[in-house]
Amino acid sequence: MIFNSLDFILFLPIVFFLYWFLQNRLRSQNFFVVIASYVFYGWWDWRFLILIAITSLSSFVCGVIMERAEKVTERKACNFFNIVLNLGILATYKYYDFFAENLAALIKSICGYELDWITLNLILPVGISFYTFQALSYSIDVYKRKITATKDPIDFFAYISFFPQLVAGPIERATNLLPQFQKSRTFDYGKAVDGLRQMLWGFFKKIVVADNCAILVDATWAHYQEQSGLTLIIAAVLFSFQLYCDFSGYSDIAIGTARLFGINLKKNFDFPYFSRNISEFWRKWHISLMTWFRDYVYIPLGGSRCSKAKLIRNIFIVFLLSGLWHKPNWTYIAWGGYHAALISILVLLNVKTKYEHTVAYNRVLPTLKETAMMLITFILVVISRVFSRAETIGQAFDFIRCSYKNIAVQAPLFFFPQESLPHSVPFVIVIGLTVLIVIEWLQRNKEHALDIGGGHFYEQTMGKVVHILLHPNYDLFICQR
Amino acid sequence: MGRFVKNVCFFLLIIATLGVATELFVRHIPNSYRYKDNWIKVNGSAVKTLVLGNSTIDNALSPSLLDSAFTFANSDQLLEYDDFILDKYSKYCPNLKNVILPLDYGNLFSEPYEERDGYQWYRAIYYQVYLDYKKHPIISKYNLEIANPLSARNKALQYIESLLYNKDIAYYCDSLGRTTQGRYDWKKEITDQDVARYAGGVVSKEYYEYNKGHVISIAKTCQEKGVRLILTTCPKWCLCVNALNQERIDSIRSFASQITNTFDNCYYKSYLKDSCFIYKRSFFRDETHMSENGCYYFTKRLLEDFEL
Repeated sequence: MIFNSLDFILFLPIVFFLYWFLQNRLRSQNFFVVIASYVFYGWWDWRFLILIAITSLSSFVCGVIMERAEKVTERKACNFFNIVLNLGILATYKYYDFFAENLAALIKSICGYELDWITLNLILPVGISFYTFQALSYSIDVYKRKITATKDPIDFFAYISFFPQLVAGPIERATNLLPQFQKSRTFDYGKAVDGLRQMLWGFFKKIVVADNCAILVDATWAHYQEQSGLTLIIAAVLFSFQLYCDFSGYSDIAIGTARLFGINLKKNFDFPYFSRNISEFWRKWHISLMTWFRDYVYIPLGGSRCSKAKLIRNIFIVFLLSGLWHKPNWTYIAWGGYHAALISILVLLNVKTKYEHTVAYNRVLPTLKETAMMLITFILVVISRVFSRAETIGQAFDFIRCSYKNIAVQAPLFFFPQESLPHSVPFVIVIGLTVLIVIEWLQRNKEHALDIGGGHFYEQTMGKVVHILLHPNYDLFICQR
Repeated sequence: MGRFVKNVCFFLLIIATLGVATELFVRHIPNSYRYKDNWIKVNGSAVKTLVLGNSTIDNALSPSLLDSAFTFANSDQLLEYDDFILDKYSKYCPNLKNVILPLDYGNLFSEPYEERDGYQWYRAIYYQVYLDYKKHPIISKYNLEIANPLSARNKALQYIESLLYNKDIAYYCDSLGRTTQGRYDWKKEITDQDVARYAGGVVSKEYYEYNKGHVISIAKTCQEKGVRLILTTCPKWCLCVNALNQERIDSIRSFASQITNTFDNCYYKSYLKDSCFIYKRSFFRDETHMSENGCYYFTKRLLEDFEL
């Protein structure tokens, strides 16, 4: 089931009412969350439920064993078993065919021997990367005694399978999400309304911006060698927005939906395209994944408390793994390597990458310097998006080459890669992107773009408007002093 | 909670009202599917030749040059829908003698609308809503124009444009069912890329078998009703013909041969490489569709060859 579908529109209110009907029965309510989440997930393919159940069960049992175990070696063995089991499942479904195909290609190029039979053509279960990492974070945190293992399987299964964040994140930590299932939730009007607003914004980003950008982007990429350089550059920019709106829109819907059920999920995107450098960008993009890699890969490797050479090594390991996590494809590994290289340059040059406040703090407009920094960072990100979009590394480089080789070729007056496309698409994209950028800029210090404070926003706004109309000499700027 | 539910319901009521209003507006826009559905129910008894298929035959054949003909071909119409149309509307055509159906590079190998990416599944809505094709359940996106916002928006904007500027309504047809949109368009230059775009693409064997099944079903329906089924492969511009995948062309030919051998009411003729057409640039408005000039001569040719 996907969020923007008729199935979900019918599913959500039913689950919402039944959930709050069980408000005073915590266990039943959590059990219902598990059932609803399994229905949500099984809607794609019921067979996928077996894998998520295995992951949940193994992590839960390992957690209980580790909690009781007194010897470090026992805890270590248990944690190791859980990591190997879950990463093994993930590796089999997600990475086996990638490595098998590459191995077959390598052997064929060396000795001409065909090894096509070694690929399994497994269907990739939706969301497996997300819930596996979520389960592993619990297991590792229990091992390190950062959290106490839960003894209630229902609470744990609810934590792993909670449907709003099951298939596309945010990757929640047990320290944040699990306690919320362990205590009663009461319906909060303000929270629910705010959740709906966030969902609305998520749907706007997904349906209005991302889906329309996808039409032009796909049409351009299908015949990119025939397009003008300007068209290709615009397509690369649009793809950056498409990816952002798709992913962050989904996160917004997930977080907003969770709030309807009284559950607070962590912010996953913090207006990353307003970043002043690539390091800041990665602190604002897919926050849940990057903090996962920071806590469970980067820091155990030594983090930044080591020599510069090791620091750069750690950065490369994290980003290459991150690339591979996104998709088993050489283009994503190259993408990860590209970002690692950019951050390494900042490290080597000792550039200040952390700021006390968000860009243009307490100001409406950024300075010229800030604008330039944001633009440069955005351009660097757009270049990396070409690798995300391309099927192969060769195609990515060919796209980049065509974008400057064809720069003299006349672009259509109104960006239109193919005549058969609906004429309204570019118009909707321009309006959608303008609304997106303006609203997100104005709300960059808030939790989400439609975070407009408490329930008295409308009354306060109307009050101000009425006051201004009744007192024509009222100085607007007084209220901003 | 009560206040929340009340406010949400109120908000949803506004959205639903806007949605219903938009849906009704879009459905009100004249379209060729509803026109053809109404026309054939009223005038079907006069129809002796029914043309089915996609834009290739729609551009290549003019029913006005045939005796008592009507075209139920539509742009990108799949064989599944040709099968449905014949099954549903043949009962309104008691005097039906011929059915013309293209066996095409496109329609024999096309995937169903439902499996297409992005917004490209919108045509499935037209058959469900305007022709009452009950393929999907009532509660499904295929019963709502606004479920595909891109196509609904496009339709609405083009309709408003036609009202404001007194232009022809897009996606409409003439009195005998031939689509009016694009009929007089002319592509100045047919490039190798245009041709490669049409000729290329990976084909699924599963879709080929699925589409063949519908042709066989059409042949059976025609046989039961004592109607002649004329299968044809329309001509294409010579550059396009040279670029086509020979394996696919052979598949079309062998399947046509199989059909004509199995059903004695079935006839097949391929004009794909007919030199009377394929070298004349004025006969093609683009690499695959015939111009009005080409349509005139091709229809006359079909008239002679099959005594329509």
